[in-house]
Amino acid sequence: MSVAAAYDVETLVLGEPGYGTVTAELAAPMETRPGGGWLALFLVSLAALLVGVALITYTIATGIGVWGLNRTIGWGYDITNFVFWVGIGHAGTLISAILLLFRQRWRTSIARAAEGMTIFAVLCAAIFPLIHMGRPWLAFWVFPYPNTRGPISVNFRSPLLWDVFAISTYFTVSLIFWYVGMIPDFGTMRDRSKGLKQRVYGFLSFGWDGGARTWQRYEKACLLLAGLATPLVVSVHTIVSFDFATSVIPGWHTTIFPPYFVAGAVFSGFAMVITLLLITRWALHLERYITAVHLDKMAKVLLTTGMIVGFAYSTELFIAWYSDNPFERFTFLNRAFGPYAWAYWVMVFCNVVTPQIFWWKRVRHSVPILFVAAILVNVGMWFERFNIIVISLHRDYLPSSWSHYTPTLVEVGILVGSFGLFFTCFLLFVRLAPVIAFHEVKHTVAEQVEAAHAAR
Amino acid sequence: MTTTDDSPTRRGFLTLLGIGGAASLAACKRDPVRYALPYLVPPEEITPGVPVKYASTCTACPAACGLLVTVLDGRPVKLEGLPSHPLSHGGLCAIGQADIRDLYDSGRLQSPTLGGRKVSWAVLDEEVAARLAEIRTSKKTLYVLAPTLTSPTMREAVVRFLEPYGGTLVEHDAGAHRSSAALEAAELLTGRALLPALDIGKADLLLCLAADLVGTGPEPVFSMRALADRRRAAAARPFRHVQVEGSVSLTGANADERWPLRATERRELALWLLSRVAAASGSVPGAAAVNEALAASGAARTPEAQPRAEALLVELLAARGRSLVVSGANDLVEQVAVALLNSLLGNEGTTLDPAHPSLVRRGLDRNLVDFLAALSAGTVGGVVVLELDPVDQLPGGDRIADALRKLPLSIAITDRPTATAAACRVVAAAHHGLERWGDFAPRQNVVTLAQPTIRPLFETRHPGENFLHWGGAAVTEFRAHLMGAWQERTKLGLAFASFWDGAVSDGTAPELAAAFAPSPHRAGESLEAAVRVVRSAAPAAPAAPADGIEVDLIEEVALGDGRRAHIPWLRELPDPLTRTSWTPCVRVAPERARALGTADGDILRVDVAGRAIELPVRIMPGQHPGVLGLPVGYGRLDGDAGEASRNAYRLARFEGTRLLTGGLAAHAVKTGAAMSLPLMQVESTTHGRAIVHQVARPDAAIEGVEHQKAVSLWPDLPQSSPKWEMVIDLDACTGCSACVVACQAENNLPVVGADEMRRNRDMYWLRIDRYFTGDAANPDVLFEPMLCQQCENAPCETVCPVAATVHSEDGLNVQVYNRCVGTRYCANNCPYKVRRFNWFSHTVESPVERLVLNPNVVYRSRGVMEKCTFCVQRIQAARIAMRKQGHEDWRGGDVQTACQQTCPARAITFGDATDPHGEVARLKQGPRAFQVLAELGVKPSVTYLARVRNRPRAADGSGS
Repeated sequence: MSVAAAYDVETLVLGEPGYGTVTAELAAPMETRPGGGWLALFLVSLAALLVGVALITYTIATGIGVWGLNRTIGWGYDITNFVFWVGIGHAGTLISAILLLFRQRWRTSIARAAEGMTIFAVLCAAIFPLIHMGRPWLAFWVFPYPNTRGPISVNFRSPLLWDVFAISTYFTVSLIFWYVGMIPDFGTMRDRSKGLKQRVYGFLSFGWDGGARTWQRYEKACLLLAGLATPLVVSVHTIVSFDFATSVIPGWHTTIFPPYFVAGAVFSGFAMVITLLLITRWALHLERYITAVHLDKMAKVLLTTGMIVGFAYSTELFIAWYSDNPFERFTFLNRAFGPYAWAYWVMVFCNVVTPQIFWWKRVRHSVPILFVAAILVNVGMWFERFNIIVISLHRDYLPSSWSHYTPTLVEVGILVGSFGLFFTCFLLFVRLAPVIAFHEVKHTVAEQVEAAHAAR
Repeated sequence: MTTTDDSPTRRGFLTLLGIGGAASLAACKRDPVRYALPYLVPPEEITPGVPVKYASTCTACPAACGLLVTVLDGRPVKLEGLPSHPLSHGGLCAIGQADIRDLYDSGRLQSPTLGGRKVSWAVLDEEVAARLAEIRTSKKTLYVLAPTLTSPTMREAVVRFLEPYGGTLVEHDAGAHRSSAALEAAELLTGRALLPALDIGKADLLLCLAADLVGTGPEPVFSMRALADRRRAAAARPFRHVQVEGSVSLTGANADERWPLRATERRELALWLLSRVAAASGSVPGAAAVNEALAASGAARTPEAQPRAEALLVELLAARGRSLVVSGANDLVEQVAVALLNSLLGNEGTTLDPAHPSLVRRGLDRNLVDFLAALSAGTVGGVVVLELDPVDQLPGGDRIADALRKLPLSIAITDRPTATAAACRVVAAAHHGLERWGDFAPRQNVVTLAQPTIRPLFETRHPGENFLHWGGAAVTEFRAHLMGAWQERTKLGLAFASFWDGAVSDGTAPELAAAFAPSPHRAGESLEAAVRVVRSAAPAAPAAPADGIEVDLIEEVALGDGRRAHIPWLRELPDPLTRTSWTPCVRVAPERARALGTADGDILRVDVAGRAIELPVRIMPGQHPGVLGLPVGYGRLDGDAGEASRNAYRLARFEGTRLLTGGLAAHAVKTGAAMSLPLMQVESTTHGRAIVHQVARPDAAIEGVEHQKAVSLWPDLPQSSPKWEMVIDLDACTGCSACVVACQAENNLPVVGADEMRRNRDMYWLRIDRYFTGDAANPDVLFEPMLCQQCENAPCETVCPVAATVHSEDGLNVQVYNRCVGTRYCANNCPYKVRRFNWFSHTVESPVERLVLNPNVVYRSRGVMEKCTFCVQRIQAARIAMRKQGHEDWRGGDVQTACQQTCPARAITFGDATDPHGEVARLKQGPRAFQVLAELGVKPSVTYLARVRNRPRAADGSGS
């Protein structure tokens, strides 16, 4: 079978660069001094991170009371942010694992960045379950380890405990996958650098020798890890959705949640990948490697998952009506027309209406529109979690307890801080590690050239 | 308390031990304990850590309910009702429950002062003696201004003190509810200015004209129990309660039917009813005279809502001798009309007991007016103000303060720094009620005793001892004086000492009541005089035009007359009707609020005859559109640091010999300012949800709860015995909130303050949900105490990652505070929203205030979830006691939760549900039983009994 028949002949790398050019261009961010654009972004991110650190310190020192929560609404920004970041952390492994298994060639330019994003997003997510605790210094109690306090066991029936396992597993596998993927490129960097830098990259390259046997084992390891990571893509957000689905609160207690959450996670994850890649592409001048084809594919994923999410919203409404359960009906009417109706309609606009513009190819290829739409989708997905958590809680069974939630500046600041952490990590990542896999792009270029020849 | 005896008594030693414990506790904060001395001879009865209970009497108001004080290691930690008390039957109200917090309040006066300087008692006594000698030589008079003195010995001491000076004791009951006209009406008809005792148990129809019997009336605990018992008996003998009032009261909220009328309309209704009853009672003596007098006066006009009034009349006539009409108006004509109504209906001797009158209200406005006149005329030489605050609790308080400052002798006997104390030269710091000996006669046939349960914390003195010292009595120690007085009265001779010990230990003894001399019986002018009053009644002119506004001063359940306005427990306690805490609000009918263009929280300026106060609006359905309800007790120096613009007492008015607190013509305008109200409950209706029920008859089944039978896919959990369950009878519950404060005291619930209440971060384990149903303008009010339902399938238990909330063998959903990491998932997943999270650290810093904490309940730290556990510490204590006796048979066991114990209406039943003969099992089978949200399948362990709202269908205007 010819290569041309096996693959689409798509131009995933522009201008057929030579291998040397690819290496030089992709290694450039790690070998040159940062430009003004990067520096500005980094300083803003760092400032946001410091705000977050200060406010988290304040919260832990004073008490959760500095947030806007109350006796009725026990979770607000904290868990909204948690689910939001876990969702963001989805796209990375999806791209690197599932798309690898499905042999989607277009993943090569974006996979590394997406994997990095996953790691940082899960880090951001992990902060929130920790700091939302009343006594975060006892957080280690959620781990089932032999102890002298009884011994007291953790409660295996609690979805929060499942979260602990799901997320730590996901984080570990994603981290290994990310690191293993980078080993050949670290080898390249070791060979290109001198002094301390060489020693560091040398350490990270794990003794990479570039031999055929090494390559073969490397490919096998990647494939195995991809197979291992694939179920995790589905499981993590399924389990996060159990936090809500297994409860008794109307608006939470819903069987549709697992697929709905996974689709939503892919949706928001891809939106974040688009946002990040558009920034990276601009800041590091990587237009040659991240092309209109990539943007087009990712926009299509947004369109598809956006429609799944929209379908889930309408299913929820239908089932609420069909259930004839007065509490359930009220909850959904309250979402759409209650005190938080604005948040619901922001969500519908961002998540259901916005992606519809991607039916048009010209829109899919327009960088500014794509950038704005991706940000809107992330805003919408943040609100989706806010709506599920806060609107369901603020008016549950007994009207005597109904209440209202307004976040305090501390909570907003911590959300800003989590973005600060995320972007600080990402910006450091693009400067310190290969943000696009050298060897994979070279492979793509080779295939592209081969395919072109075959077609001729 | 023994202070002069050489040999310390057992109790003296005990209290010394208590103060020692307190001091060492206080010292913990600053310094480690350096010396710890063990008991050389362990005191009898006392085992460290084992509570001892002492009978006593509550001094928070003149009603004098029985107390059972739990003393642990020498300090009282909890007040409970004394079950053997003949009037309170073990109940205690919210204010009574909070009295223990008052004992340890850091704002108490800690020593006597003279002109603002701390002095010793000797110096103070010397100064007072010198001034008294001056008064004796001058032509001036001496007054003692006091609340109704329910204590016979105290009263006697005051009278004896005044004798040499020809002085006068003026009793004045502070508060919005004036009993003066009712006392005068009783004086006219019976010759004694005493309120006849009400026997609600014998009544089939209770008609209250703005009398708040169960909320803030003179004897709320007694009335609540009587009303609840009567309602419980309604299955055999139907009972109806009709309330006619302008401002919604707790009693009105509990009535079968509420009829909003203004003060003048109520008076008209009373007179019209009297005329029609008189016309229908031809053969009853006096009927003809009354009829003739009313015809002559022309005051008995037909009410506007004639059909409703006619229906009421028919009911009254049908219940002759079995009805009871009570009025709360401070209007002689209305009170006489009501007294005559009761007399013509044959209620005297059945539902009214004039032979054993109530002694808890004796304040006659005419005496107060005379005193104030003398004060401003300058003929007064000295005034002793005993535990009253006329400066902050009477209109024109500034003038009273000025007059007090000019007096040669002005004495305030008080345990608090009040505005009156600030105006008086001599301030005699008083013991708290729990530090005092005392006797109380709330009825002519009921006498109880109070014993101190702690040695005085500060350099204070028993209020009565002041009069003994200043009157030159031979015995100045109050306990000795009290014993001497009763020895004389009982004439028991040598047997007295042992009798006394028994009486003190029981809190009462029948011999005391037998020996209590009834107040002198003055020949009454009787019926003729009463008829004269009716004849002279002019058709009442309404205070305000038909569309105008009049103000009713009201009392709130938590604050009462405001004497305890400084107790944080009471300040935070949400009002059962408005559900606001910390903040006084003007209660405005929805219709009137629309007309004024105001919403909840808008500041309203209410102007009565040139005096204005500014308070936020709280829209109150059921309120008469023309009546604004303004709570008194706020804005005093004590409690509010004198925010005079909130002190509604300033709006009261003297008219003739009467202090008017209701039906005051007023003008109200929106100021444009607004505040956010600290609301315990934001939503007022059930939104059509079947979460609380009322039925029309006691034996009627609740409609629409059959479908609640939840089907489970899982096998039932193995049933162990005992299994603790609770039944709450909503028909008995009045919403009085005593249980809420009892829970707070028992379980060390922190006070969070107004700002946190605004953020809906109350810490109540037990709350009383209030719902309005039916007619939006005059709805039915339903109270539903809500606490942890100890679900068998508890949603909170499955979700906790660290298993900090688990199920106990005896059916409790327990919370392990030291395991909790504070994810709040359990609270989110609780359908009843009864879990409370410690948002901040609530550590009590004051070493004195910390003494109130119950050492048997852990004080929860920041970041921990907490909730009701059916007072698990009490269950465990009972279990330990039984195991010590070698058995564990819970049947007939008397474990009582704190809320159940204090409930004046006995609305709460608690016990082992597996006992087939137990009360819980029996009540759960009743037709009115339902469980809240049973359809969720969580299997709550709390069962409610639906409210009974007995309303003839024809008269039911609201159609709920």
